[in-house]
Amino acid sequence: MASTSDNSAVGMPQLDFSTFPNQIFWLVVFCVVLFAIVKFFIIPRMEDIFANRRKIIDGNIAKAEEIRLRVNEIEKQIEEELQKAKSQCDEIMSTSGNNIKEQMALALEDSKIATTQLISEAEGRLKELRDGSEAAIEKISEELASEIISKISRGK
Amino acid sequence: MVDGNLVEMGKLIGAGLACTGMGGAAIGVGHVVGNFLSGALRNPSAASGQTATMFIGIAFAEALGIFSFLVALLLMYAM
Amino acid sequence: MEKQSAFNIHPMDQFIIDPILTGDSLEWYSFTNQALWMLISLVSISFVFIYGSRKHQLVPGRLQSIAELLYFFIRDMIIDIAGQEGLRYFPYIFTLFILILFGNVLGLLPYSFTYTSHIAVTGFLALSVFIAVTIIGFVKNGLGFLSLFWISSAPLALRPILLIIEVISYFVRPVSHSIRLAGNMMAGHAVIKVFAGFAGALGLGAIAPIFAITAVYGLEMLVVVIQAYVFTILTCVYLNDALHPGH
Repeated sequence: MASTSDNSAVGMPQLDFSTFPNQIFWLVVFCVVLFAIVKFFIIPRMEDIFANRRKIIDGNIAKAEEIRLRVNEIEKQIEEELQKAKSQCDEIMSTSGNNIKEQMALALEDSKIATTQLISEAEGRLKELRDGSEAAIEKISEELASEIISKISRGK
Repeated sequence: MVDGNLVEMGKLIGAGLACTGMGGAAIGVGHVVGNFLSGALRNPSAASGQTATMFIGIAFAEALGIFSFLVALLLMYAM
Repeated sequence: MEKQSAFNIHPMDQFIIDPILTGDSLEWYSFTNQALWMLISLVSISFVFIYGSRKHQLVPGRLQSIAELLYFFIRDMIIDIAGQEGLRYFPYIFTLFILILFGNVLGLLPYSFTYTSHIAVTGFLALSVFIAVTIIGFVKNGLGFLSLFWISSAPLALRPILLIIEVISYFVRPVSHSIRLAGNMMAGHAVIKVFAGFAGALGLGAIAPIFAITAVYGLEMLVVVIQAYVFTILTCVYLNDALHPGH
């Protein structure tokens, strides 16, 4: 067995039973102090850090969820708006098509009226012209005849 | 004096023989880790859950080697 | 018993308990080198866990992440092995873990003293775990705790034999539990010391044992952490046996 006064261990110091009370005494003191530190300092601190982190992470997750919901809403709105715009567009297209047809019909009508009017006018003018020319021819021929007569009578 | 030397010799031989037990522990630990590894390579997703079991197995296998080492130490130093 | 050898190696000297304040006399209260290293490990633990995380940082710094890693490592281990109700004993197991871990790691410093290499220390720890687990088992389950030894899944004829084996292995637990830790620590340190003795004796050829010391030291770094882990995980396994003896 080792004796503690020697500088060199002869046997195993671990089996020197005379040191056991000392070792166990200090171990118990050490364990109690360490347990107190763990219980009253380390665990509350770690749990606090963990709870803080949990809280912030949960808050962030909640915020992300909220933002996601808002994004969904906005997407839905955009969709709605798009739908509305599309239907409006369709409506406008169909009404404008109708309008154009109507206007075209109207314009056709107008032009028909105008052409008939023009034609009748032209016909009237033509008639007038014809009448006028006939009268003029008559007049001219009358004048011509009277002139011829006077010439003839003068020449004689 | 002759007797003392004989006893000493016997102790040291005994200590050396006791150390062969540690070879057994080495084989045991090698088996545990090797089989763990071959299983883990077949199914890597299940491996991480079983490392604790592997360490427990190593500890049990190794304890016996430590016992033989202790016997060797006791023979050399404590008797 | 005298030893004469060419190499003047005393691998066991580093484990001598030496009273450092009261001269040579060793009473039960004398302050020894072992008590000094317990004090040093206490200071280191306080440094890592209290000083390191004093700012309660959200994103941990170096020391705080060490503390958090150790803390949640043990926490998850208890939950994995002993279940949620094992978490009640978390402070005890965590105390045990950091006590052994810091003792082992600080013991690797040159000229230091490894208090976990002493059978008295590990034996006390293992025995207290053993007694605590037995008491918890009987308090939680009453006499149902004895079903741990009576394996109902085995054939009836085998049960008495298994009973004997189980009882023996139950009472061997503290022995293997303590000797595993102390033996590993002692063996590693003694091996390093033996190689160091070779280095001292070989003169210029000392380069080989110095390489060997480096390698063994690296291995020991691994071993000290694994042994602390193993001690703790076996404590959890025993606790699980006490909490759920049926399986």
